[in-house]
Amino acid sequence: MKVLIAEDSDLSRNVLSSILRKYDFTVIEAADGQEAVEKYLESDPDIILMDLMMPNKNGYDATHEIKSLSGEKFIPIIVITSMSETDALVKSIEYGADDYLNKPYNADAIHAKIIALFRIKELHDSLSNNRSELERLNKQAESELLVAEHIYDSVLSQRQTMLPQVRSYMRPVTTFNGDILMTAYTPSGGLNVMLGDFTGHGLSAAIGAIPAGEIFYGMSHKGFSIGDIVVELNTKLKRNLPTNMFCAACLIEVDKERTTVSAWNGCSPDIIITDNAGKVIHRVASSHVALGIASPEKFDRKVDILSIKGDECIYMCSDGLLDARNKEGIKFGMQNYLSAFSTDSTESVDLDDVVETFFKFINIDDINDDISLVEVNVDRGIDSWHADDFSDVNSIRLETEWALDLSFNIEGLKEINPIPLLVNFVNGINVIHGHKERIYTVLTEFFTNSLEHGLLNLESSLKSSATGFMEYFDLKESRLAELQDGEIDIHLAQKKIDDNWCIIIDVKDTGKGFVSGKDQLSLEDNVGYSGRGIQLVEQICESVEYNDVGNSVRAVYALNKNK
Amino acid sequence: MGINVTSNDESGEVNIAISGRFDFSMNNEFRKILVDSSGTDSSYLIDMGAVDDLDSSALGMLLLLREKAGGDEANIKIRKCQPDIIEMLEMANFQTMFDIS
Repeated sequence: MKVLIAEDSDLSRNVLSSILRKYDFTVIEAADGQEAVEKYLESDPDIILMDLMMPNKNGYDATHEIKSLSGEKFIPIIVITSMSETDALVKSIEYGADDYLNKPYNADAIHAKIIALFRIKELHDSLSNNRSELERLNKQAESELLVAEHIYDSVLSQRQTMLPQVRSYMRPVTTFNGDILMTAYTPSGGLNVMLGDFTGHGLSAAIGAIPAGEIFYGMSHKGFSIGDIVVELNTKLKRNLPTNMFCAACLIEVDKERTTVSAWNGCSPDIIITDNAGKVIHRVASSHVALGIASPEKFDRKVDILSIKGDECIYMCSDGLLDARNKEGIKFGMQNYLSAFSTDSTESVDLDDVVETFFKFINIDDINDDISLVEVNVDRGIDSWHADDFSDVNSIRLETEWALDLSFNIEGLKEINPIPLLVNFVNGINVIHGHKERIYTVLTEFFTNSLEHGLLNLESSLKSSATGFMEYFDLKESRLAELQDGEIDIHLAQKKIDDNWCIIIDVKDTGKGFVSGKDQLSLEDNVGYSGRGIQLVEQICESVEYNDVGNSVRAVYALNKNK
Repeated sequence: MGINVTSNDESGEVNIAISGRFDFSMNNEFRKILVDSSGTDSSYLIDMGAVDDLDSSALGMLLLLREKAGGDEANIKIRKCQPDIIEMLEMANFQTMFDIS
C-alpha cells in the first residue's frame, strides 16, 4: 500500500515515515501543499496524510484540490492536527478530509486508522465498479431492446391493420407487451382473432410473440382453421420456449355469414358473447392448458362452436384485467367484469363502458400486469367483410389447360384437412388471383358436405340449435374416428368453355348420396346442410350439378366473369 | 412468506410448503429446490394452504417441477388450496397435469 505524507517539518515527516515503513507501507513524501498535489498525480497513492500548516499551498487547499482531481475515485485523506485545534479539524473536514490524526504520534493508532480507511476505500471501489458495470449492462440492454422492438414491430405491428370489427384496450407494464392481439381475414371471408398472454412481461414475453405472429398470420391467410392454428402454435412454442414459459390464449373465428363463432380458450378468462343489447348470452371458459405446455400428442385442439345471429359482440381479456386490485387489495375479478355488462342503462354496453367500470374499481398505481380487453363486434364493418380485393382480376394468369386429381382415403381424412393445401396449390400456379376466396368457399362447401353428410351421415338439422351444434361436432369427431373406409376424390381443372377460362371443380365421395327421391327436394335439403352454403356456391358459380344419387357434384367457375 | 422444504426419508416424498404470494419473487428459491432435490423418482407434495395469490410465473415454476419429476410420469400432489387458488389452477387446466385438491 502506498501512503503519501505531506508535511513541511522534516522532523515530523521523518518520524511518520519511519513508523509507516515499519508496517511495510510504501511511503512517498511531499514537503508542501503544492508538492502534495503533484506527488498525488504522479504516484497515485492509496491514502494521504496531510499536515495543515504548510507553505506554498496549505493543507486545506491541497486537500480540496486533490479531492476535486480524484473525481469519482475515493482517495482517503487524513489530516494531522494538534489536540487543541478543534476549529482547524472542522474546517479540514469541510474542505474534504476524511479523518484526522492527533500529534504526538502513536504508531499503533496511525496504523489502525490507515487500515480502517483503506477498508472503506476498498468498499467504495467495489461499489463503484459494480455501478459502472451496471451502467454498461443497462446501456447494452437498452440498445438490445431497441433492436428487439424493431423486430417485434415488423412481425406484429406493421401487419396489425386493425379490422373494423375489432376494438381493444391494451395497457402494457413495460415497453413490450406480454399480451398480443392479432386479427386477420381468412380466404373464405371469415375473421380470425387471437389474444395471447405470454408468461412474464417485456422482452422475455415478446420472444414468444414473434413465432406466434408468423404462425397466426401465415395460417389465417392460407385458410387454416383456428383448430389447425392452435396445434401449430402449441407445437412451435413447446419446442422453442423454456418449460416455465407459455402463452395463455383465446382464439376465435367468425364465419363469413356470421352464423357461427368458433372459440378455443386455453388458460384465459372466459370469452364473453353479448347480444345486441349488451346482455351476456354465452361464456366460453378455459378448457385447455395454455399454448406451449402440452406435448403435440397430448394437445387438445377441440374448439367450441356457438351459433350466433350476426349482431353479437365478443369480448376477450387477459388475466391482468381480472387480477388488478383496488385500494383494499380486492381483485376486479370475474363478477365485477360480468357486472360491467349488466347495467340498468338502456344503451348497449361496449368496450368503453367496461374499461370505465374497470378504472372506477381498481387502484391504477398498483397495476403490475399487462392488461388487455378486446371487443369483436361482428355487426360492424360489414362492407369490409372480405379478404380479397376482387378488382385484381386482371393479374397475370396462366392461360393454359391443366387438371389435378386427388384422392383421400379414410386414413388421410382422419389426419388432415386438405382444403387449405389445395387452395395454396391453386394459388401457387398463379391462376386465380382475386378468386381465391370464392374457390375456397366452393371447395370447402363440397368437401365438407362429402365428409360430413356423404361419409359420416350427419344430420344438418342438428345444427339448428346451439346445443345441437356442439352435439353435431362431437358426433363428427367420434364418427370420423370410428369410420373404417370411405374416400373423397377431388378433381380440379382449368379449361376454356365458350371462350371463357373456367375452373372445374368435381368432388365425389363413396357415401350413399343424399338424393332420396326427387332431385329438386334433395337440393333444397342440401341448402339446409350448412346454412346458405350451397345457395352461396350457386351464386358464385356458372353452374352446379349433382349426379343422380347425390354423391358427386360438379361446379363450373368462370375466371373472367368479373371483367 | 416463502418456501419451506422438508423431505420424508421413509417415503422419499418431498414436502414443499409455500406461503404468501406465490410469484416471480420465489423464482430463485424454487429453482434451488429443483437443483437440490434428487430427481425423477421422487414424489412431491406441495402444501398451498398459506398461499393467498399466484401468478403465471408460479404456474411456470410448477411446470418446471413437473418436468424435473418426470413430465407425464411425475407424481406431484398439490394440496390445501384455497378456493380462488383452485379456480386459478383450473383456469389453467392444471388439474389435467397435477393431482390437485
